[in-house]
Amino acid sequence: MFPIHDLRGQTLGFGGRILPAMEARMVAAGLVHREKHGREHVIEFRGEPLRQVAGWVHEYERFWNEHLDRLESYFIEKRKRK
Amino acid sequence: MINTGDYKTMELNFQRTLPASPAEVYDAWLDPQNQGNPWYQSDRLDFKPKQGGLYHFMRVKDNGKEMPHYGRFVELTRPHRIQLAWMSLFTRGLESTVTVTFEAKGQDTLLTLKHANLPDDAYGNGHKHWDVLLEKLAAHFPAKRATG
Repeated sequence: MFPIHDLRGQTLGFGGRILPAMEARMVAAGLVHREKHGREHVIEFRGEPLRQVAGWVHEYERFWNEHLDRLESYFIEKRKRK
Repeated sequence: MINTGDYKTMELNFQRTLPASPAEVYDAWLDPQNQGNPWYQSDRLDFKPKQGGLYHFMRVKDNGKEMPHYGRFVELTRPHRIQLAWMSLFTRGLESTVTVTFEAKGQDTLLTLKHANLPDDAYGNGHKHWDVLLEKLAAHFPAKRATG
């Protein structure tokens, strides 16, 4: 969770402002979730939708899939030999 | 579950049905000579599976980059379940947890692997990708940016 002024100013680089229209579209796309904590509005960035769209793969997603592929091949070949 | 404080974490889940008994798959998973486990062909390996024991393995990639992994055997329950504490460059100092279960399905085994407590910034190259992503996001709104 990031205070909205942090996200606006530091990460998005919009000179200290995130635009309402932009934020609304990000909320609609499921990329951010907005909450009000007392006087402070906090938005949480959620990257999963973008990860799916962009096809990004976590290092360990690749790592484990490669190992499990090899394990599967090993046992398939072993059963064939029986 | 490890308390990671405010650090946002994620988990990855995998399932495979393998044509072997749970005991065969369990043993293969802990055999460094088997091509299907993480320790296979490690350039350095300290690996004696024992509950509470420590392990270390390292791969050297083609580009010379060293990828050390350290951890602990949290649980070894043959032939049902293996749990490891797992730390590497990609866990960013967090102690992640790898849990592997082996469930009989007829003559086969359903292997389930859960890798939990991974930092939620580790998409490939980590933060760099988020920066690129946010730059691209910003680029989608040039008109609004000028008028807002």
